[in-house]
This record gives sequence, structure tokens and C-alpha cells, in this order.
Amino acid sequence: MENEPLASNTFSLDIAGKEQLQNIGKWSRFIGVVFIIFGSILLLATVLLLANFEALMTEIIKLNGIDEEMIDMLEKGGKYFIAFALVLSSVILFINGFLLFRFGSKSSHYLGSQSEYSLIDAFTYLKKYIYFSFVLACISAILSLISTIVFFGGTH
Amino acid sequence: MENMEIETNQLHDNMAKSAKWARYLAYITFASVGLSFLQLIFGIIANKGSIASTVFSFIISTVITTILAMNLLNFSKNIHLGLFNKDHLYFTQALTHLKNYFLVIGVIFLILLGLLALFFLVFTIVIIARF
Repeated sequence: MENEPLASNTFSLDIAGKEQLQNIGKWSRFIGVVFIIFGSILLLATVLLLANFEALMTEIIKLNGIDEEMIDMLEKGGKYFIAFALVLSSVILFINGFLLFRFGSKSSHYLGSQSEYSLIDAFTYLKKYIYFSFVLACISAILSLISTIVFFGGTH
Repeated sequence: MENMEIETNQLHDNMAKSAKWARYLAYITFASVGLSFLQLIFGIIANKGSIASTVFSFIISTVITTILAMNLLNFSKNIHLGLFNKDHLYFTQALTHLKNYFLVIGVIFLILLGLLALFFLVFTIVIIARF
């Protein structure tokens, strides 16, 4: 592999770098599409949950048996809370999917056109994706910490 | 020429910011692994659930998250080195680590999609067998 220095005012990748970028583009588009599919499934599940809540509850009670308190909680507004959580999850999946898909598309476009604007756009989407993932990871870590304290703190 | 320089500066800025957030994401991922380890220890002490399955799932998730975090950290390090030294080799290394990061996630998704397909297949067979 060549180890040549870059000119100070231009940016270009060597053959190995372009090959890696091509693979990154393929994988990120695939992951983006999967995120969007999972988001759509969640959205569909939310619509089905809200439309057939009574029938669904009857089936679940038949299969597992839920106590009165839980049924009461779900009928009072629990189903809207579950629907909100599902919609929120699908929105997160859609945003992640969109950012990854755009990153992959722009990377592939750069390889075809050699336009630096495409690479700028690609890295803008990558930056947004990583930032968004960081925020989600922080929220997840905080919730995990709280649950650890509440769950294990209450046992002693 | 000036226009090209502005474009390159913008690209370098985007790369530097991507690398910065990738480093922070790697750190928070390592912190999450530590937190999971604490939960595992507390779970064992409190004797909640099956220890063998908990330890097994912890090992699997730790291995995956560590690979992801290491790739992000190496991507960040090589991007910074590439921008500092203006060297192709570091950018190629950075892109290799980013590819590995997406590859791991992609393979996990492929496994998940396979399991989902299997679930739907079994579900369909059960439904057909009932009628």
C-alpha cells in the first residue's frame, strides 16, 4: 500500500481506501434498509395494537393469564403508553435508517463521480448518525444505571 | 483553487467531528459494558434468575459491544492521525475499521432477519396445520 502524503488543499483516497468506502457504502445501505423495515414493522404493530386491543388482550389472557391489576392498568391508558413507546422506537429506527442509507448512497456516488461534495455530504450524514447514536447510548446508559439502582437497591 | 480549499476544509471538519463523536460513542459503550458487568455481579449476589444463561448472554453481548467500540475508537484515532499527518494510509485504516463496524452490525442483522424468517415460517406452518 502506498504511503504518500496528501496535498494540503485537496483530498483523495487511494485504491484500498476506495475499496473500503465501497464496502462501507454497501453495508450501511443494507443496515439502513433493515432499520427502515424494522421501523415499519413497529409502526404496523402499533396500528394493529390500537385497532385490535380488546381482541389481543383476550388472546393474551387466554394464553398467559394476566392479573386484574395489569388489565386495569392497560385499559386505563397503558395501551397508549405502549403505543407511544412503539412509535418512538419506530421514529428512532427511521432516523437511523435514513442517515445510514444517505451516508451509503453519498459514499457510492463519490466513488462514481469523484465529486468532493458527495464525500462532504456522506461524512455529514455519518457525523449525524454517530452523534444520534451517542445521544441514544447516553440515554440508554442513564436508564440502565437508574434501573440498576432501583432494582438492586430495593432488594437490600 | 480557493473553492476547492473550502470544500476540503468542510470535509476535514466533518471527518474530525465524526471522529470526535465516534470516540465518545466508544467510551459510552465501554461504560455500558461496565454497567452490565455490575448488573451481572449484583444479579449473582441477589441470586436472581439462571446464572448460566445470564453469564452466557453477558459474554456474548460484551464481545459484540467491545468489537464495535474498538472499531469506533480505531476509526477515530486513524482519522485524527490522517488529518494531522495528511497521510492516505491512516484514512484507509480508518475506513477499514468503519467497514468492520458496519460489517459486525450487518451480520447481526442478517442473523436476526434469518431468525425472523424462521419464526414466520414456523408460525405459518402452525397456522396451516390448525385448519
